[in-house]
Amino acid sequence: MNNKNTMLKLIFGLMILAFSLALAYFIAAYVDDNKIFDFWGTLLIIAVVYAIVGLLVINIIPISLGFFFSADWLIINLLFNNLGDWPDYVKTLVVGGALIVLYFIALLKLSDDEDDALYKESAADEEEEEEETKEEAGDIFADNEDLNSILKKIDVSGVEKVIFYPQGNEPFSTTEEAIIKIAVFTEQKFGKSEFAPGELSDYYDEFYSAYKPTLSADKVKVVLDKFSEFVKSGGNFKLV
Amino acid sequence: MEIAALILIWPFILLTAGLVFAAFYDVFPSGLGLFWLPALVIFILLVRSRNKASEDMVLSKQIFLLKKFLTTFSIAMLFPIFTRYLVGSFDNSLPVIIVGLIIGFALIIWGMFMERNKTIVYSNIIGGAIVLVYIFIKIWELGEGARIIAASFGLLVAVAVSIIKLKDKLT
Repeated sequence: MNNKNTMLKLIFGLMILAFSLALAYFIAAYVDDNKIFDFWGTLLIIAVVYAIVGLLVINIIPISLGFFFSADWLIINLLFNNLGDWPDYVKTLVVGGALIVLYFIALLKLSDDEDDALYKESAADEEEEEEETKEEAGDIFADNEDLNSILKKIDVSGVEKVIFYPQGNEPFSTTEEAIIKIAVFTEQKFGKSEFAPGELSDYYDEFYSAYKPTLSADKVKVVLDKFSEFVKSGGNFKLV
Repeated sequence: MEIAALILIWPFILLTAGLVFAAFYDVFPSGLGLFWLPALVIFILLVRSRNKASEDMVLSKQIFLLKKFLTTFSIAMLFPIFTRYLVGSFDNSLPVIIVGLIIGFALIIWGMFMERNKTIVYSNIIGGAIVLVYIFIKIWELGEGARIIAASFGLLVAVAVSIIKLKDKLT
């Protein structure tokens, strides 16, 4: 997830929060003013609806979070304004009910046995993932060395530029040292300079994070777009 | 999905914290609020120390820990509130206050004897301790007779637990 996307998600999440809250309060005020329904009752219904919508769109995080936080806000506002008016026995029942649910969760889902099982499972998963990565990458990061520090050590003094020949697309070349270093590293690690479509996709994120551009922002965008295109379409590159 | 779960857990944390504070809201002006604060401080310290240890943990493990802390915090805070409302429902009558005393001790003992579930252990001990502080304040207000009953009961529980729990170690 890059910074631009994170910022957009944050902005849209906040917009959904703001507009959903405004909508809730406007509806509640309207129905209360026109004596259609109680103000707090309406807010409670809207909070439940928002929570359900949040659950339904859980895959779209900004929308989901916007609705969840909105539901939180409404419920907490409702409680702060009404809890004092409830008789003590009602509060006892509500809190007692919440405690029963929490104890069930603690006993059934949060025991140390579950913890141990999770630990074993995650350790096994990590091991398996590591094995798979090593196999797929031909041990590309087997020494666990950070790609940044590997790239720093690569000497590209004899290389002037790198020319990429993406399949089905126009070739492009760059003199950008960081891209040349990535190309040299890729050639050394894989022992080849020709790749099938998507063969380098799993490593694109690592390349992207390790890429320290020295060009202007416009040129960096062009280089990254071209490099991304090459990773997707496959092809070969030549160091000149 | 794990990252999504980690992000999506925050609304629920906020809701739980909000519920607890909404329930505490009418307690603070009475001065009793000061007794809840140590529990909150202990909880924050616990979370901080555990978070340092969890820096290298995988996400699923962190989510699990977060759920445990959330549940521990909620139970530890809600039980005193439950006891308070229970006592309030019966107009602070002595028998119900004694029931509260029994609940407080029962929680602590359950927490001490519970095995393979740290959530219950911590939540019961912290929650039970706060319940006892609240109940002893209530008993203090009821006069000397009630204080004698409370002190006797506390002594009885302490002796009973010591006999059961420490017997093997002393012989």
